Amino acid sequence: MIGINEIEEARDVVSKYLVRTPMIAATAFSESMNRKLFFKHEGLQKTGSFKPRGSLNRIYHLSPEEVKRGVITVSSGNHAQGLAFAARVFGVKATVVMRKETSKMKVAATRRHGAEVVLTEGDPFQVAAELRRERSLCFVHPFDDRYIIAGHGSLGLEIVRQCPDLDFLFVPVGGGGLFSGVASAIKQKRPSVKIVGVEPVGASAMWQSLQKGKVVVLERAKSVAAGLSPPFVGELNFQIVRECVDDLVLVTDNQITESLWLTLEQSKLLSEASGAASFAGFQACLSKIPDGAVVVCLISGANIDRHELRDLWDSQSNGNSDGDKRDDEDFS
Amino acid sequence: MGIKEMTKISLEAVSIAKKALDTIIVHNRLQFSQTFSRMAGCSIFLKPECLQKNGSFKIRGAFYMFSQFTPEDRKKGVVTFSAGNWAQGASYAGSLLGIPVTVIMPEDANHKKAAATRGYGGEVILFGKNSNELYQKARQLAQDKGAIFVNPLENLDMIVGDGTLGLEILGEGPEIDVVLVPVGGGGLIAGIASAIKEKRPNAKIYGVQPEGASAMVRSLRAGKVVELDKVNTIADGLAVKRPDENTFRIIQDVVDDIVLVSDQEIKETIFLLLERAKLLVEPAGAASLAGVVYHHVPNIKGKNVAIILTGGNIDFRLLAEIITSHL
Repeated sequence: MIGINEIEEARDVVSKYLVRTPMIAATAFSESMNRKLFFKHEGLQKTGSFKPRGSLNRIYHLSPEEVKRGVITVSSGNHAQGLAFAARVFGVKATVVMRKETSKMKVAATRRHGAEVVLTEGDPFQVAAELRRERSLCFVHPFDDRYIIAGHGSLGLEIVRQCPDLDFLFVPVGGGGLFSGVASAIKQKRPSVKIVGVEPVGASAMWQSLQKGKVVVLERAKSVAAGLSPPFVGELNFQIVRECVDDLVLVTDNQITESLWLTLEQSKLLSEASGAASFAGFQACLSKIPDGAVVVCLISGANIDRHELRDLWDSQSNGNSDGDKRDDEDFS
Repeated sequence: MGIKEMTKISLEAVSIAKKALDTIIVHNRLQFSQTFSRMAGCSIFLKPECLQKNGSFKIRGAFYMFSQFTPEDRKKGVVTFSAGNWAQGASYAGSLLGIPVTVIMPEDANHKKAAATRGYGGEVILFGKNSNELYQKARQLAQDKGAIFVNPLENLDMIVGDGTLGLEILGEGPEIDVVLVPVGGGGLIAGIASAIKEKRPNAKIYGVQPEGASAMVRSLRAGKVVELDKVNTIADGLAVKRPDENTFRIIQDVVDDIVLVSDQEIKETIFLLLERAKLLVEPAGAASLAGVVYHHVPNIKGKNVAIILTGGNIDFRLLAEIITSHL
């Protein structure tokens, strides 16, 4: 894992540009379920997700020559905004390659932070590699990078400070950047904490990699949680996850969507589908969590626009009315 | 002289309450909002009490009020009435202090709110429809059981507890010039304004009421308590027909003015809060922000304005309607 000194140094680098996001007590859920549930809500972080933590630390460690050349990356949305934000903080030019179908809101936000956005129908990693050569830019990997991971680790330090008696932490897993950073920090600061990764069934690159004992590339990765759907995980991320993970649960798109609304109801804060996956994972293994345990679900981001919000509502609305009917019968 | 005999709320009393509440409540600091500042033409700072325990500010008044009970009164327990947030705040406060709490809720109460109230350990009795029926039933039951009757529309300890929000705002962020507070029964604004005006007399305190439940606005205009024939608003937490006499007098004394917002403005504001600030706020809670987004509050250009978002316990059927009507 990444050493605690590196993570603490990263925290000192990034914290002055970021906010300390709230740890929300879900009192209603806690009382009825006999577990003390909290949401650590990075949706209220700058740019709407945890991503600038890693990017700030990465850009801070560029060499003077790399600073002059500028950086390029690939992103489904949140990393784009995080990198653009961080690049602007340090006065570095940033280029981001995104898929053509990326939400307009995320593209617009990335441009607002000052980055150049290149949209592609092809493989974004390939396009980025070509552009990097052409323009001699410095490539910043969205997750397979020790500075990025150390920056994300600052979130782990924040969590144990805000919730010192934490027993279980649920973390969404995409490329593994967030998990590897947070888990490195927490396993060193508070080794007794159990850390559970949560991955969508339709994009289970980490789960499969753990099964095989090496990084697996998926032919197809698709989930309502776009941020958790890269077709592969990082090599370094995989090594750290393998070392730190106590459990990894898979959740369906339905479970994720349901959790988004439940998280909203319980925390009074909106999250994006990727963000709500942690709560879906917690619910999926509720029976394994002892009574009285202190549980934190890490909500990684809240960049969801009104179109996505409405689609998610529609996909859920049948399930909702059924639930209401059942409750009403109980009630009368 | 105890607080109960006073008709004015002192800063000293609120400061004491703040200490009592310090380890009980969650401190969610003022959040600057660029989006809403741009819309309103001033610097907007949101105070998200929707993130408070139980999803609203009510725990403040409830816990402080109950903490003032004598040991004998604590044993007797409390009977009160509420359609929503007070029910949850009171039963949670009761569970923290070991006081049995019974809440009369209307027959058509939102079942999730009733379930949440039970989840916090409160006993829920569904009875009647309007607040008068609930009030009568609660009084009667308290008498029969020998329990303490609590009327959430007129209790000075509750106002003192709620006033801690005012003190909190003064201790956070930059110097606040204007504070906006949703007004139903008026207890919250009475507490906040009393605390703030004593410490910072130049600060302006404005209330916001829905057009369909404007009892306090009309009472201020008339110079005496006015009772409405009916109330009609989506902001159920603000649907009060007749303000309490004592609360009205405090408001007359310390509140600068109360402005009106429409239900449509409230709905738009709920959506904006969700989309831009990621905050889920109930109609009563969003009324205050609607007041500045739709420019109903005078002389705020360039000022530092604090907005109290009182709660987030919104009925998801209403939320569905709001989400699907956008786009």
